[in-house]
Parts: sequence; structure tokens; C-alpha cells
Amino acid sequence: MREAMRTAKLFRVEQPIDPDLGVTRFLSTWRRRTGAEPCFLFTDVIGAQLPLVMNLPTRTALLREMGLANAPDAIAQLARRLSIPALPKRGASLATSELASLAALPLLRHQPGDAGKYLTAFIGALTCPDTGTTNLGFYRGLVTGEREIVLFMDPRTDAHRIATTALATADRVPITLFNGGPLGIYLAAAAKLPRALDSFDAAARLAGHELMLASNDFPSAPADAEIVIEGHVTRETRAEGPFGEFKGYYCTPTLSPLIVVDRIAVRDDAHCLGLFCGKQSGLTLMALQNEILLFDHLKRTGFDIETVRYPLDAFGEYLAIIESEAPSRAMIIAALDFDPRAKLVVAARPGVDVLKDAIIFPAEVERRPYVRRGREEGQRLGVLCDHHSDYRWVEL
Amino acid sequence: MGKTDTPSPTVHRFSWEEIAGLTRLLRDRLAGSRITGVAGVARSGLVPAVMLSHMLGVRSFAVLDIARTHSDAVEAEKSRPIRRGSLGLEALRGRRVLLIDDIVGQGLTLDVARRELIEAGAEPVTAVLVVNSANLAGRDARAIVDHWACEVHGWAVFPWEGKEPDDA
Repeated sequence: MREAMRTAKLFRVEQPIDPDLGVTRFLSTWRRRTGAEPCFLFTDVIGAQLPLVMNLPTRTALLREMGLANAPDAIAQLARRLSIPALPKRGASLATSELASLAALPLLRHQPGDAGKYLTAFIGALTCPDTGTTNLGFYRGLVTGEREIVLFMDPRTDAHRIATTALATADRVPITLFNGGPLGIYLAAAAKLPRALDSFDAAARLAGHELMLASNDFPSAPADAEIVIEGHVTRETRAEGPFGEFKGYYCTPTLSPLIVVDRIAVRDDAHCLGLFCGKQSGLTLMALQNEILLFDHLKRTGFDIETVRYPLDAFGEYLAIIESEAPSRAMIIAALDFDPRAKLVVAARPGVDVLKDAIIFPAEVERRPYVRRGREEGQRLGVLCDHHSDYRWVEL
Repeated sequence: MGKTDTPSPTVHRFSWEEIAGLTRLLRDRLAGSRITGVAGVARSGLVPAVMLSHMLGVRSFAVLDIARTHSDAVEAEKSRPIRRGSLGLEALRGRRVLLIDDIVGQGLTLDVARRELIEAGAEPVTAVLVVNSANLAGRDARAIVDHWACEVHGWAVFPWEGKEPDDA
């Protein structure tokens, strides 16, 4: 994260800003006026002891930190890296100063209808009781007290399974929530990785170099994390939500586990990374990990592909575009079967404007039922754009 | 002379929209700081200086002509700053003056300009759009400039330079 900050165009906001919708209003106004979402450093978030960095993990920043700034085949390289183990090293944490309360952190209420201030850019680390591996994931966490967080864990995730299994035999389960550190870890935390693969191992593979982790009785955090919150998942559940989700509507309230915080540690010169659901930086993490995983799957299955894209306009999840010199129906089927969240999968030749291509030429279509929370809701489509008509195109 | 293996510098390009946004950030920060005069460092400091003089409603304006680079190329070689002249400086006597440039690194140009304003009887408050942290040589930016709106580690290219991304 420090390297990404160093190489970013870092816009500096020094006037006091309210974490309760003030940052949201500022960012929304800026985007409306300029059409852009630059990286901002808010140095004076009212009530907070740390500055806040917003909009940092852009695609450029993520790839640059992983040494692939100008690589045209970055997705292919990242997919290749996934197969090369890179076990982390152990070291001392740089987060050694303690904070008494979560109120000292620049945590935001992002939308007017949100239930309160939420953690959105903290990665949760849990230890799998079966394998001993670390599972990393992004969770939204409603701050309900100076040392209390209600953490939503989607029932479909490994984290939910780990916590539920552990709580069957224990009153509480240790959890670490950290902010900052290498951005490759953010990518690994966003990815739907195989259950047996340790998330830190995956992060190191993606980063292309060893990671330094700090550990104690709690699940590990990166040694250079900016903020480390150690606590326990309890059996007590409380209400959280509504919360403005990445697709732009509020989720309904849930009953989720209460996290009791034991310790909040920060680096001496810590910065807090913030992520805004549904905006560029949050969606980029989702898109990039989807691209890597689908590319890897299709290559392993034997397809000759150039790259895979998940456009941010479709939230980095629901539209997959496969670029190949030999797009095929089998490729479409393989992609639809691999990623059940993709509602539209398009295979086309590299550089083709897929919308234009699909409209001008006959396209082949593959259909699958779309299943959401166990119920069929409409259909998913695969579109093969592989025209053979040799038109003479206009030049300008 | 053949090519060397020296990595090309990181170049940060700014759009007009970004310049307008950065200028607004400075305006918000300077609200209430009793600025009654504006001085811009020619050439590139004049653009934000004119914008801020309008935003702050300050009509007393001076131009300080101070040169450092000998060309407009990225990473152009720099010499010690040289005063080449000024315009409207006498009108700033006794005023709290916003001294503004587009970018600062080592701060040599800003130092010369600040001294010129003090010699002219003004009280300078310094601001730049961008701090280039690659040129700070370990110094805290606060020791060089009072206010800045953006930080980069590399070369900045501003929209008024008219350079396209493919230009050398």
C-alpha cells in the first residue's frame, strides 16, 4: 500500500471532513464535476487519529505493485504465478501503537441509508480448523461500540463455514481484521480461491514475491499492515444493515455475529485505506480476481485465449469478455460452467467491439438458468461473436 | 550517443478538470486566511495564480518571472533560479500575498520568489498545485511550501504544456 501511495497522484484534502457522509459528498461532487475518481488523502477526518486514503487500488496501482505496470499480458502472468508456491516469511509487526477505541479510526458512513459507520476495507483473517490454513476475505462490519463490530459473513463463503464450524465447539473464535499491507493480499482476499489454498500463499503467488507476516495467538496479518484489529467472533448475533451494496441498492438487515475487539494496533505513521462499495477501486479488485481465475481455468482446460475482461460497468462480475483468436461455443460453455455469477459471457476476437460485433453479425447464443440464493431467476447468456464476413470497413 | 538502461521517469499527466479541482482544493484551504494579493511565478504558476485570484476575489496581482529549466522536455536539466523581472510587485506592499507556482521539488524557485516578495514589503503565504516528492531530498514538504493540493513522485505534465502522451 505504501508503494502504491508513493507512486499515485495523491490529491490532498486538508480541511476537516465529516466521516458521517462528508467524505461521500466530497467524492460524489468531485466525480460529478470531473468524471474522475482520483486517489485522495484526507488528512483531517473529524474525530479520527489517522488520515484516510480513498480510491487507491486502481488497476494501474495494483498491477504496478505486483511488478506488472506495463505488461500487456498482465492477466496471463498473474494466472501463471498462481501455480508457483511462495510461502510467506515471519517477522515482527510494524503496528505497535495501541488505540483505545474504534472511534479513533476514520471509518465512514458511506450512504444516507446505511445503518452506521462501516468497515469496508479491512480484510478478515480466520484459521480453518480442518486444514490450519488462513482464509482471507472482505466483510462489511458495522461499528456498534468502541470495541464492538457486527460482521456480515455471507453464508455461501468459506469464512462463514469456518466460523460456524469453530463456534460449534468453542464459545469464541479468534479473528484478525487488518488494513493496509501489500495490495496483492487485497486481491487474494477478494478472490474465490480453492478451499485448500492458504490465502496468504495465494497472495504471495500473485505478488510474485515473498510476504512478511506477523503472528501471535490470533490469525496472521501482514507485518507492514497499517492497522491490525484482533478480536473474537462470538456466538452472539446482532442486527446490521441496511448497507448500500456495490450494485447501488441497499441490502436488507441481517443478524450477524458480534466481534469483540481485544486490541487495536497501528503503525506510528499509519494511514487507513478506505474502499467505497460500487466505485472504481472496490470494483477493480473484484474484476481483476475474476479475470485471473477465469483466464487460469480456460487455459488449464486447453483453450487458446489472449485475455479475459470483466468490465467495471457490469460491476466487475456479471459480464465476462473472453478475447481469443479462436473463440468457440465450447469456450463459452466452459466459462458459464466455471463462473456461475457471470450473467453474460461473450467470446470474441481480440480488439473487437463486442457490442458492435454482436449487433452487426449473426451471433451464436448459449443459455443457462441463473440461480440466485438457490432459486432460478431468469437466464444467463453466452454469446459467441466469430464472424467470417469480410466487409470493407470505413477508415475514419 | 547510444541508449542507456536508465528507466524512464514516472510521468503524471494532469487534465484541465484535475487542475480546476486542485485549484478548488487550495481555495477551500485558503478560505479565511485573509489573502489580499496574489503573485504567480511565470510561466506555469500564472495559470493557478489567475484562477485563484478569481476564486478568492483578490484583484491585486503580480507576476514574478523566475527561470530554472532551459527546455520544456520531461526531466529537463535545471539550473539555479534566476530572477528575470517582475510586474505589479509594488502594489503588493503591506499585503498578505498568496505566492503560487505549479509545482515544487527542492523549493529553490519558491525561495527566490518568497524573498522577492518580502523585499517588496509583502507577507507571503506559499502554495503549489503539486509537490514532487522525488525531489524533496528527504525534506518535509511543509518546510518548503505552506499549502499544496497534490503529491506525485515523478515528473508532472500540465495541460497547458500542450503535450500529447506520445510526445517525447
